[in-house]
Amino acid sequence: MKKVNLCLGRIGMILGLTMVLFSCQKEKNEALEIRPINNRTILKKHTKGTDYIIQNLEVNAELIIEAGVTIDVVKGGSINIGPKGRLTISGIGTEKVIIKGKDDQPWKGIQFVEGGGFLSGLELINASAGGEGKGAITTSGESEITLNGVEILFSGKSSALVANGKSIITINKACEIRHAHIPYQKELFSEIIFKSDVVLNDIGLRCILIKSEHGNGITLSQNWVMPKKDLPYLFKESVHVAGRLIIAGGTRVLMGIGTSIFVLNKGELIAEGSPIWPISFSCESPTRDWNGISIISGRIRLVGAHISHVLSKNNDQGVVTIAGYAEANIQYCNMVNNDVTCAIVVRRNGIINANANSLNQFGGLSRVCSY
Amino acid sequence: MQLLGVVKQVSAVVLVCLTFVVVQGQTNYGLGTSNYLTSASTPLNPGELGRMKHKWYVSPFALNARIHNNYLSLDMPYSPYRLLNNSTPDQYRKRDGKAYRNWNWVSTNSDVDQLNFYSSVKIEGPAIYARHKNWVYGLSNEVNVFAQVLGLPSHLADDQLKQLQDNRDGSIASSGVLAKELEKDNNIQLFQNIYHAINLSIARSFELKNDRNLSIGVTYKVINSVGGLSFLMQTQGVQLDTQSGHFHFSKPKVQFTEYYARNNKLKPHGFGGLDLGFVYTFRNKETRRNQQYLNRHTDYKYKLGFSILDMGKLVYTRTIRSQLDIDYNLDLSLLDKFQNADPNELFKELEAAKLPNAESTILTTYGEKIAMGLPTRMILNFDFQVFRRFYLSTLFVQSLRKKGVEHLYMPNLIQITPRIEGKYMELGLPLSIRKVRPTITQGLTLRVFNFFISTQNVIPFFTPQKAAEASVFFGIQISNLPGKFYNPKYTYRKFSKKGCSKF
Repeated sequence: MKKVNLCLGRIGMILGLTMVLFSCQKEKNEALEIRPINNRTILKKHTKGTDYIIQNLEVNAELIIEAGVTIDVVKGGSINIGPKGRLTISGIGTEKVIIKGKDDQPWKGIQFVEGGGFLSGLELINASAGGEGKGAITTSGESEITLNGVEILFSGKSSALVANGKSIITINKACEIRHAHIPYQKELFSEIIFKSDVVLNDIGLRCILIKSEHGNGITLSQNWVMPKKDLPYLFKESVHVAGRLIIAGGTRVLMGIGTSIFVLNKGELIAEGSPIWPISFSCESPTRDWNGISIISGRIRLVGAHISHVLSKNNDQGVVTIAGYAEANIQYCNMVNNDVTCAIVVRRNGIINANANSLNQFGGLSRVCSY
Repeated sequence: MQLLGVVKQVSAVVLVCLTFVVVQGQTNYGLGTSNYLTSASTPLNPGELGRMKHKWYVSPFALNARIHNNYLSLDMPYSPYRLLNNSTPDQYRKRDGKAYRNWNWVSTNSDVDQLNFYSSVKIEGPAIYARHKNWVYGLSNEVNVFAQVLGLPSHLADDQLKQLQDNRDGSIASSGVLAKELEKDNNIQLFQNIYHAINLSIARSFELKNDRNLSIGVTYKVINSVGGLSFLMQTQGVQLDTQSGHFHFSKPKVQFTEYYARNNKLKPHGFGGLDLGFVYTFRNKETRRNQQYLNRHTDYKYKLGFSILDMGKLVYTRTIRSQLDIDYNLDLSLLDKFQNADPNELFKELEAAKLPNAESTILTTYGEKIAMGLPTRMILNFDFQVFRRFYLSTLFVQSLRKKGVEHLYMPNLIQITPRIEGKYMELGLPLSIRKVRPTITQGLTLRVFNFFISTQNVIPFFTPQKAAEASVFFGIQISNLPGKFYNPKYTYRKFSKKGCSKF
């Protein structure tokens, strides 16, 4: 009997050791796969690690992600909020919602196609697979989203935020962008509204990039307003104002190297600043230049504007050039640090209505030249 | 090879039964009071483990399945028993010689308007139990398969059966039929779940005065689920309160839940389950024996057992639940113009009008923590030795879980079993009484040495007509192998008039 007991004891010991070995094995992921969202859906936190895995998630109804949820997106995957979709992320305090690439692999980010969303307490990581021109969060159509305490990290060449079409991204508070490309809007149809400061780290230029889809210049054929923002606007391409563009006081506009602002087709550019809120036009690079403003057909009204870093190798090109049937009303403007012969060049049928006293600083240039 | 053939045939019967009708319940109740079959009695009362007659035993395998429902029955043209002998009539064989099945053999009972079944298949083993002094320790394994349907309207089942009989796709009843059910008072639950448990048992026997004995046993179950599905539909139509003249509209609740297993297979679902059992053994003058005798044999006037099984819950976190909410959105101002109308007329009109106005929304929730109760039940057992080796046992099973909620459920049962029991052989005839149809069934249990087989209903094995229930429980336990080393000789001392030499 003693031998039997000894034998049983050994069996017990082996079983115990087996259990210990099993319990020492690497813990597996308990994540659930999410199916396409076609009805109102809530994602709850259900495990310590990753809660859900997404490949390409189509959201065609309201999707609510509760605090503390962690989602892994497989390499190249994306979350697409369709026209009927809406994304509500409700992370709070330390219980943030984390959406990241599985095994730190790049993914394509969240794309809103018409659908809206309210994103609060979100960490968006590794959404860099979209590449240049795409965003960790991309909006298009008429979608409207609000960000509240959103951190966008490691988006690589992708921009943190991209607003396409007529979409609006409102940044409320406590948002942070790190190791990502700058946020940009496309062609001013869309808008990124900063209601609070956003912390930008390691993103290169701190501005809102505005660029066209095709890269051949930005054409504004309707009425557009550029409101004052904490960040300057950067136009990477020449701007063609064929409608009406109103630039609010205090706005900073950076132009790409070698680009121009053209007012044509009876377009209208109105930039009304004030001594307290001047409007500044400059080049994206402090050591390089842009080509200034040319009015071919239409009107401009520049009040309290600071224009700098304009380069012209020809005498018939100034900081502001008025050509054709065009009208310019320029007052209280400052045009220093420009490499041109004349500040304002008026050609043929151009009409200039400039308050000479108000054109206070031309940096030693001839104020107005006529050809 | 012959044995393999028999196992195949038995498996075939079980499979046919599983496919044809529905499986229910724990079947080993007939052998649950056996004094020599610890592998059958311990799952019903862990206290029985303390009374184990062997130094040790191993149970490599036991299958415990039962087929039962109140609505469908199997009208086979030959006895299902013939499947066991592979003696299916030639006209019911396919070209390759295999027996075929026909959905037209399934008939319905027109007396019932709701289909209910509670089914479980339990695969037990391997299990190992060993005694050390007064303590008995055990480690066992079990897999439970549950499939339950409660309150399914009979015409829905009819519809489904008709689809099967017409060789159509056999999918669940069409949405049109289900939509109609929303208009009625219904409480339908379809449920399927599979879980696996590793049981750790400990039991001890306490000697009381006058050779009476109390045995207490506890089994803790570490439970891992393979997953499951459930569909729940609770509807309640328009109700008229004749006192106040008000109409009450309750929202229907329709939900479908998927339960997924953990990826970490060794992480249990919840805190596990617990079985607790007590067995009190009374011996009068005639049945008193010395301890050495009792270590190998049994004798008592009566034995009283009480156990509560499967306390605890299965906790799922990997779940997907979709819930349909319907708002009737009725314009209650309509009631004003019917103020003087006959309430019953009004009731009918409103009932007819409610669905077109209904607005429904579906909410899907991922990762909701859902605790599903194990099939907790209480078992009382009274085993009386009428005369030597002839026992009359009564067993009462009472479920402690509510029906219609998200719990596993085992139905209630009363069983009376006359049996003859010896060390090497045992024969019993359990008579089972239940609320659900068939209310009374006659079973048969047989143990020869360490092999055992049992059924709660012998009728389907002999007659092909109206087989609404069939059950099977069989297995083997290995203990005290012959030989001096494993089976040391006891020296018996005569203590009463009837010595063990007469056994």
